[in-house]
Amino acid sequence: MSWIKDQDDRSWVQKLCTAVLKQGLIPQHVGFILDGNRRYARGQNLQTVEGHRKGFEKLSDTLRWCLDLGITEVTVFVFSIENFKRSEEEVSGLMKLAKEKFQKLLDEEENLMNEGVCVQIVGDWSLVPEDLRILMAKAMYMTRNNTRAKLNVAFAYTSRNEITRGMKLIHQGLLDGSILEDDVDCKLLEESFYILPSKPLDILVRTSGEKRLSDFLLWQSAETVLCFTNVLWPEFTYWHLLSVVFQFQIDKRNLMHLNLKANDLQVTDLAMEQRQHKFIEKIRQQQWKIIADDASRINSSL
Amino acid sequence: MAEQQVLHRNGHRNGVGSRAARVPVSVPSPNLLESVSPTLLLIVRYGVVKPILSVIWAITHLIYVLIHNVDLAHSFQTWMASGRNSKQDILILTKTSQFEKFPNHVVIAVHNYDDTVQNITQLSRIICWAWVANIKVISLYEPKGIVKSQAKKLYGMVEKALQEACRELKTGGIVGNKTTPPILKFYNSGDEEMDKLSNETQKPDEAISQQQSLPIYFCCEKDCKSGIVNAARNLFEKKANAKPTLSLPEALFNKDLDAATLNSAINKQIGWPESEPNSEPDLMMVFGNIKSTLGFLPWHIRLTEIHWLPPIQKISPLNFYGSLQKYSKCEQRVGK
Repeated sequence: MSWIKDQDDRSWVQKLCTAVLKQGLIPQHVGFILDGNRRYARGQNLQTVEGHRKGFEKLSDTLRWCLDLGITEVTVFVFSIENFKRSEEEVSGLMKLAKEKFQKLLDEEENLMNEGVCVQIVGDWSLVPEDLRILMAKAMYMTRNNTRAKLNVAFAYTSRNEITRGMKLIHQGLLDGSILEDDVDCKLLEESFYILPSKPLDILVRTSGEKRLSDFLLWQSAETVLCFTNVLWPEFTYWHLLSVVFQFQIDKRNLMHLNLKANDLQVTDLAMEQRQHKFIEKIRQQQWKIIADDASRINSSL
Repeated sequence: MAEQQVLHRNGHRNGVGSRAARVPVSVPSPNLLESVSPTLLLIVRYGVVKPILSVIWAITHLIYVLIHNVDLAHSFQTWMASGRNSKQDILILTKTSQFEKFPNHVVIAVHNYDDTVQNITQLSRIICWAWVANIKVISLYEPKGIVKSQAKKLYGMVEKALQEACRELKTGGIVGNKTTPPILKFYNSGDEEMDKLSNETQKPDEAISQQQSLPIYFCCEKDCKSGIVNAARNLFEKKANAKPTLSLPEALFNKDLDAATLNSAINKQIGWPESEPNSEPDLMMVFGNIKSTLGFLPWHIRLTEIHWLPPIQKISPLNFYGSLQKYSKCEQRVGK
């Protein structure tokens, strides 16, 4: 099962509906909380890990659909820091699955490059086992110049952890004097989350009927459309995705009327902006250096 | 080093490769058509199909919006309720004590809120329902800060609504602590006088200690993301001042900033009352048929259950009860 399914298996009815839907606004960045793999496995009398495997296959379908719909950035919540609390058996099973899939991603290099997909892993790398981290680093480094579509994989991620890490970086910047206290604002914090610039999130989707964000993209989703759907992730279909886009078109208009974030506009100070920009560039370069080092170790460890 | 160079070259080659692969795939042989007539190409591409698709799109949206705004479910409910009187409605909220799982802290989020008598009356009624339903802490969120600016007016209105509700409950045959109205405590209301009033009533007083209190926390958009950033800035400032006395290496210096430190700093920054330990809401009710948290405290809502409800003008105790009922049936796993 490859990362992005290569054939288009939509029916003509689905294609027609897609064409209609495309007359409206299409979200540019969609977040998914892939929930319901275990409940699906239980319902089908499968092993838990098999449920997660099915979930991955669905992800592959969904990424294809997103590309065809014109959704250019997708962030998926694969593994939360809280998930480390699960049974040892499940955690090690998940880690094994992740290793297998990231190895697969590297094997599929040509395919990803042809599609122009940039893969980024967001999360706390210090919590990821070393062998997996090297694979992730390699995947990020390999696809970093692709610009057609972007896939952010949230692994060992929570939003609070992301905010805290961002603040730590900013604190370091304050200590070494590359930014001043007045430069610390919402924009700077948001930029510090990503190693490559990210588009603003348009809609966050959570499957399996849970009505919670569970510490995923809390900051990014604050002013966006949320969509809670009852379907379990492995049973997610193209129709569900179309209804998500439809919901987005309805609610985005309502949200735009509200004019949230209007308070955010501050007096722009050119010198300040330059400092912020330079600082963000600096921390991104530092992070890239670590990733490049990790990525270069792949051949020695294999 | 050599390894890195190879990698770099690889990356570069692939970058070029991906660009080469990005050939547009659309209408068959557009070049041929274009050479014959550019206008013909435009007609084929957009002339016939696009308007039809746009019309279908518009009709679909129109139907959806119509169904949603007419709100058949609501009309049916009001029609059903018209036979009974409103006192029975409020009585249903006392039944929440039978629920196995119950939210302690509830956020009431409203938007499109104007400074009108109807709005403020309805808002105070909803606060009152929350108290009848045994909710211990209420957060009031309105992004633009209009509710905050009416804090003083709201205080009087809620007090009045609570007294009325107590009378209704008494005549409804309810006994116990819901027959005396609680003491209202306002926090972060933006009105110093109101906030001070809340702190004064905290003084130990025998007559008062018998009575329950109802803390209400006010919040607007300015408290939310900016609250997080300002909290961190305050922390940095404190640390910077303490710097000369500490000769710790930077790494250790950094360790101090963990989620727990940041959490308490944020709570302080947004004016969360110290007397209430749990600042993370259990349930958020977003009124007004919009599917968004409207920017509400991103740090705090990681585990909050979020429910969508109709606009406050259309809301009845029955809807409110329904939301609590739904909450009581939901299992929370916290990552496990």
